[in-house]
Amino acid sequence: MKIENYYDRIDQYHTGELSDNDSKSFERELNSNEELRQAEELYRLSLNVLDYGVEENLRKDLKNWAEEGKETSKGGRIISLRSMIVVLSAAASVLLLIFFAAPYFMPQPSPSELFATYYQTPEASNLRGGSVPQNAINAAKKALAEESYADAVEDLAKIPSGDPLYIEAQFYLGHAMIGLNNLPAAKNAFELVAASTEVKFQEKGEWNYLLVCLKADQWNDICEAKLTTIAQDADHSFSAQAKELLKKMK
Amino acid sequence: MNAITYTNESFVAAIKKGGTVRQTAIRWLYDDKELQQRVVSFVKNNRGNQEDGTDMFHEGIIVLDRNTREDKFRGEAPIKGYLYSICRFLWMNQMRKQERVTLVDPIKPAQEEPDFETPEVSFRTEERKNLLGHLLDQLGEQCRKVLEMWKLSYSMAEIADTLQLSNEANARKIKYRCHLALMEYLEKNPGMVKQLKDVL
Repeated sequence: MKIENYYDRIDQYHTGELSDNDSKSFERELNSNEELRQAEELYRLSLNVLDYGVEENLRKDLKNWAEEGKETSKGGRIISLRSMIVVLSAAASVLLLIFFAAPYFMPQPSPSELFATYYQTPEASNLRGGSVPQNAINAAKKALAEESYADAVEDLAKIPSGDPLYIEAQFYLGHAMIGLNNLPAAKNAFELVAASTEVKFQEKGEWNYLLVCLKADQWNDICEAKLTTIAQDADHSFSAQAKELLKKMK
Repeated sequence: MNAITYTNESFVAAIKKGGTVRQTAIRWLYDDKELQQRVVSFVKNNRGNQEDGTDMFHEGIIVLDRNTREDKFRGEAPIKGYLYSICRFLWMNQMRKQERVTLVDPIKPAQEEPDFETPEVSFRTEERKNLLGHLLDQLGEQCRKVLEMWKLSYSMAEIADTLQLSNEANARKIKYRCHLALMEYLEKNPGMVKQLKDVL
């Protein structure tokens, strides 16, 4: 099950962001869609886990309030930090050695090999939306999974640029265009997604844009700079892959 | 000194609103030294010591906060009387476990603060604590902080500001990614899900 296919709707349902009609439709679907039901259950269980964290934090706050004004000793912590610095320095040295020595021992993969290593097609879901754009997205995802790329493009074309699902549609369009080997169109679609503020797709757009650069054998300084930015952003979803890719491309 | 004062309704509303509003309301309750002293006196008169009394007061606040967030307490009775009853109930329960019975209650709740013989208190068993603690440990420090603040209805702007994230959009992104990761961890560990369902 791909939970992310369901996350937004479940989250909106639980935070009261769905309209009455959409809430009712969601509840109906809970009874008929086993994957959605399972994902919703995981969501609820995760809230219980977070609740426990909330209580633990409150417990700490109460203790801190009770101990306000008391001096705290930090001597032991300094010693442990020093030890940690030594260990981390040693680990960093080893990593640096590996980083610089690796290119001498391993043949450099071609751009298309790198693309194949990192590219992932989106998965289809059983989600049934109800609205025309959501149905079009679901149909396109299904078509992508079946490698019917032209059908996917046709479905996604139903979503106009002002629609809230437009960025999501562009993301899947990028994948469909890769399938059709229309790489300039794929690049355009991912560039648009990368420039958006859609939490769920923006970083994926950035990453896939770079993969298309590789596939099209159009790697240049701009791509390099973008890849470096992602690698340096520890919060980026693809930071680890970007670091790895940078290393392989050295 | 805390200048804000709360009615039952405004206290419940503040807890449910979450964020810094909840924090202020809890601090207001915590700062009621008279109430804290009543709890401590009850515990001390029933074979506990000062520290036990303070612990019970803290645990009572935690239960009150939970019950309010879960709609089990809706401000239908005076908050402080309710909190005192919870603390007393928690201590009595602890004593019963240790087979020390026959409790003395030297301070009866005031007339305007009705006594709650059995406030709704769900206990966190050790098994439950261990399991939930293990699951929380799966989240990194940043993930944990973001998700817990989000759970308490802090706005994304407040989360970004408190945790020194670059902006609101980044906070939203981290919340999405971390929450998804927790759900995926649960999905990959069906045995743990079963245990979790059993203890909840």
